[in-house]
Amino acid sequence: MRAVNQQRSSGRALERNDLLESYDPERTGNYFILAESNAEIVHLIESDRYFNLAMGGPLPEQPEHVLAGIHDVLDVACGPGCWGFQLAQEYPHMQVTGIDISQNVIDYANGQVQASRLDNVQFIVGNVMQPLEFPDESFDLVNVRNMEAVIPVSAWPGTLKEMFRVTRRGGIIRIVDCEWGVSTGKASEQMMELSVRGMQIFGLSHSPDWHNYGVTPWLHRFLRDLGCVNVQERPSFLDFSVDSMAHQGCYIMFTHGYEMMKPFLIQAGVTTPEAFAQLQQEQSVELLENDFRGLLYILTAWGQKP
Amino acid sequence: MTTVSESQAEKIGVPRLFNFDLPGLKKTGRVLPERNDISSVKSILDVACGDGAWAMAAAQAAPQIQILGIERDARLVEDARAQADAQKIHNVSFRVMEPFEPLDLPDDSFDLVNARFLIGMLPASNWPQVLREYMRVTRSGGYVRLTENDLPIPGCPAMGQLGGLIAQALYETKRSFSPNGRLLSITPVLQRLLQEAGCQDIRRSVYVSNFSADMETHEAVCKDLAITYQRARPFLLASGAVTEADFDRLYQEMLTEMQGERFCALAFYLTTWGSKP
Repeated sequence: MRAVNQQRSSGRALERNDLLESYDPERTGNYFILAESNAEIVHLIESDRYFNLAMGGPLPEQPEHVLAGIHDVLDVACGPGCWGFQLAQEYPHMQVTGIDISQNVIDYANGQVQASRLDNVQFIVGNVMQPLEFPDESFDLVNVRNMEAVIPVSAWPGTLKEMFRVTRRGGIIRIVDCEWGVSTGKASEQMMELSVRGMQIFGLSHSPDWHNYGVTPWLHRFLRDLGCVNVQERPSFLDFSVDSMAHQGCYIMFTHGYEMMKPFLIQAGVTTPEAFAQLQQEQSVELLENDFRGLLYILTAWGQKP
Repeated sequence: MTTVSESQAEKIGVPRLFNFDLPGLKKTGRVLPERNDISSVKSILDVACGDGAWAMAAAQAAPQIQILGIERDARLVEDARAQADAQKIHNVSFRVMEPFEPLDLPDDSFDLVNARFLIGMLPASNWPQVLREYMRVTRSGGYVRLTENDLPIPGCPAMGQLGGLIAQALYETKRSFSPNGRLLSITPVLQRLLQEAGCQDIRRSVYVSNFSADMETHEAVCKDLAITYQRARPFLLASGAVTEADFDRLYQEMLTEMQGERFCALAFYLTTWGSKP
């Protein structure tokens, strides 16, 4: 796993300024930010790495005897595949499949697989808002992380139903999502607010207001709605304060993330190019200030298909 | 709009807003769930203990620990004493004392000082001196333990808006750590506050209280929030950040939301503790 991380950080020079010009989910099928840019891959890899660190591994909540019984795993909207890759490496008895709409991230993920010579992980292109191309009951674990803002709120029930369909009886459906942070920085707090407001305009947010991302309260409910039993939750947090271990990575994660959200937020009408540039400037300074503190709360919810 | 001066708001005071750790304590009997071994803890000071609910539940769960609750409101202290007597809990006592002033307690007298959900109860700028005072009464090798929340996360609008008004009022009266009143921003600063008070070996544990409809803690937590938000009403109105009409309307809507079959809400809360060198 350590070797993989090194490979990820040094293996490929990624162009940071390769940014999307406009927000057009109808054309691309991608509602959040286009995964066609290398900058987003950087962003997603950084996010994955620090989420894994904060949570304590790819499946930290599952006891040994459950892990031993998990053979076939599906990772829905897998992005560049870091989670599935790590899982495959830590648990050679598992066969991991990742699916994502973006050819670009899937190419990246498969490049990593080839370089590593792992034979128990594969990544394929597919739209998780369409019926999945897998037979009923084909996986022991179906996982999705940080889907909020990636697909519209209205698409969640359909996607979750498909996840349930392809899970074996007794298998696990697992949802991880987060509240993107609470901090002492004014620009950071304003950015969070803008993001939620923008997401709301495009029907991408579960939040009833603009104070929180507001997706975490629903995860338990979604699993019960599906008919899952033994539904459980586990909280984690990620510290991105100035003196935290993850600060440098999170600095990149946030500055890239907001740069990529720019066209989206401008199109949503919640900010202007000038105002947003000013806010980005303030945030990039603020994140490095001595007294900057911030935490991000993550919730893992999982349940069993009866 | 009922606008009263800020000093009047200060005088009215903010009650404890949250008790998200109580259902877990009552259910599991784990007084300090962040630790497996609590045999070194023989005495606890529970500051701003309110009606003594935490102190009594902890005393019942751990009869080997002596717990002292301090509270400024004499009526609450009387009630707590009566409760403890009625329930024959002998290892808990209560005293009337200002919890955010120099304490009438000797140095090095407790194995652990417990401070739960104080956010809003004191001005943000007073936290450093208050924590130094808690450090003073903690024995060397003992712990100061803080548990806080930045606002519950609801899936329903009225509860969210009411929370927003609280965040705004606490921001305007400089009682939260938020730079703009979006949330309370207390949990991100706990570690730094303990460091600056001289604590060492600081650790953190995160918990989630899901009090959605059908969840085990739904009724208890909703009831508690309904009480504490109502208690906060005079302060919120006096702060000028909230109008009476807005508060009362949102409050009623929140109560209705809580009864809904699809009511969804949770709170992440963070316990941060460190030891006195």
